[in-house]
Amino acid sequence: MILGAARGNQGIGSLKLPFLFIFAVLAIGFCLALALPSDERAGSALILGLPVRAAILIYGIGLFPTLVLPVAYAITFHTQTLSEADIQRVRQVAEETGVRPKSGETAR
Amino acid sequence: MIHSFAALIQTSLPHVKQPVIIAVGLAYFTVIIAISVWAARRTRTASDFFVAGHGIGLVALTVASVSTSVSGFAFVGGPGLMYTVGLGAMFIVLPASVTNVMGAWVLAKRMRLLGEARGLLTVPDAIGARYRSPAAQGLAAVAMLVGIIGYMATNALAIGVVINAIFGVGIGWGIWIGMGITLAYSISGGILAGIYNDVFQGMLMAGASILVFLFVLKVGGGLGNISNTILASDPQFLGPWGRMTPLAALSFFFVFGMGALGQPQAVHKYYMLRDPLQLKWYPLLKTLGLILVLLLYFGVGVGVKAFVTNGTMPALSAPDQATPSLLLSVTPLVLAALVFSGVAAATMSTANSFINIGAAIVMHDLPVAFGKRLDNELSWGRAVTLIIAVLAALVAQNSGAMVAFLGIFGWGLFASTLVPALAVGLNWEGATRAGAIASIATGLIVTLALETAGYLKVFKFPAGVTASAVALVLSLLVFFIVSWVTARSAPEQIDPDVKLIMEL
Repeated sequence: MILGAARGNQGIGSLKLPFLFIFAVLAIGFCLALALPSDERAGSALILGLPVRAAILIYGIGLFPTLVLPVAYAITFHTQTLSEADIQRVRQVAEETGVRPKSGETAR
Repeated sequence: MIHSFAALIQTSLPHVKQPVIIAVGLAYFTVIIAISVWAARRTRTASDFFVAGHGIGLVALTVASVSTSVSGFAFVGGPGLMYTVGLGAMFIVLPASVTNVMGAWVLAKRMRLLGEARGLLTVPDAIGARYRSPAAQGLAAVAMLVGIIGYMATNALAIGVVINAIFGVGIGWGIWIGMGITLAYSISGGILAGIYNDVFQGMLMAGASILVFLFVLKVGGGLGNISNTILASDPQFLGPWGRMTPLAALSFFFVFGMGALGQPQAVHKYYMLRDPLQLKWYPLLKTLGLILVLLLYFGVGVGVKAFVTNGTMPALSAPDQATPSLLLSVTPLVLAALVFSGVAAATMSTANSFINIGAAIVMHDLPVAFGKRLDNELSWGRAVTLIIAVLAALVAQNSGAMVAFLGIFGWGLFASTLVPALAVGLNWEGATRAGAIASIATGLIVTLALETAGYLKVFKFPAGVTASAVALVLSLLVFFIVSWVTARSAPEQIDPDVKLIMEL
């Protein structure tokens, strides 16, 4: 994911923070699921309707990253991922090197 | 591992032949036919047929991608698996929180820009362009085609099972009726018909999933009550790994997380987006869409467990009966009808996508690998579409238990052959043509060998580790080692436009 998000020699820029945060959330989540005692029973404490270890798994590992990484992707999209200028550069290089197909042609 | 990949294959459903369910089923097929006629009138070129002329909007593409990523397994086999192994079954779907955005960073931008620069049609096209290698493109095409035959056969069987459940026509006729309808819209409107049918099917799946989830919560008195009912009799069910070992659960997480980057039905769709800048919202929308569609997977899994425990429902005769039994005993009949149409939708949308990808491989990638081009790719595409669909239906009808093996093999094969060469290769300039060819060959051979050994019960890995995970790791290792050994050739194997796309 870091390879994919890196832009040339500039690295991942402002995406360091969300990446580190999610790595920590996943690592801590899995460690807690392994380390916490397996004492679930009727009447145990529930978090949003689930026993603690199940809640860590479903809400922490399954849902929480959903709110962070795609939003970070959208917020940094134009600076870190793709801009109109990038698309124009690609089109220009494709024209110059003659790899761009004419209208109606398919890949060469 | 009987509770693992084998459960991905839908092989049985109870008969639900009732007037309301038949009426909703007929209405569903009528909408499919109407969309297909509309799309057929707009399909004029091979580009229209295989990548929708690179002209699909963000919302349509997102819903279609959700629809093709989720097969009938999420509606029937998945909840059944959850009912059997508990929360461990969630490790199949949990990676979705990360995989969609990972796919966007790793593949979406670069594949869409390759489409922009070169008008690419297929996933092997991208491999051919990346390594300037018709051989790598051809080998990737062969590996995908082998996987597609298996995947198509399992989907054809699933369609037959669902149609038989709704209309009571027998599984054999169900296969031919379902594949006939899928074929009609695949052959006439190509991927354009597929995309807009996927949009309808995806909305149907999401709507049905949300309604069933809410109904389960209502009948169960909320998630807390449901949990307490289960904890009183079977606390292990709601443990973080359910009845699986931690290693097996994490093996699922790895295979379904990394493997998602090699699933052609999802990756292929990156070419189709009209405006590459619309990728900005794609991962967020797709992840939210998947969460909605997967509510049923979780809700039915825990709901049925609680309802059977407290006597609201009778014990199940088989895990696959979890969804149908819940629908027929607890929810209104109209909702049951919607879900059964949703299952048909899920299997047909996946089948359509694979028919289209398979046809593109046969009429485009394989000729390119041999240095040839077909004159009329659209006509050839339609002819090959017909052949692939008929072959899949014949395999589904005649291969018996082998069909499950083919589906399992297909998923693992896509992951082990495409993830290194495509997902890593498009992001690492040190990757070489030799590394790509060696890793694709390794993925093909190792997946075939390990899955066959598992199928024949000759060998299986301990602690529930999957053969697909081992094949993927080996394929990645070979990719890195061979690329490292042949590193000198790496710079000269990248064209200027591809190099620019990799640097952006």
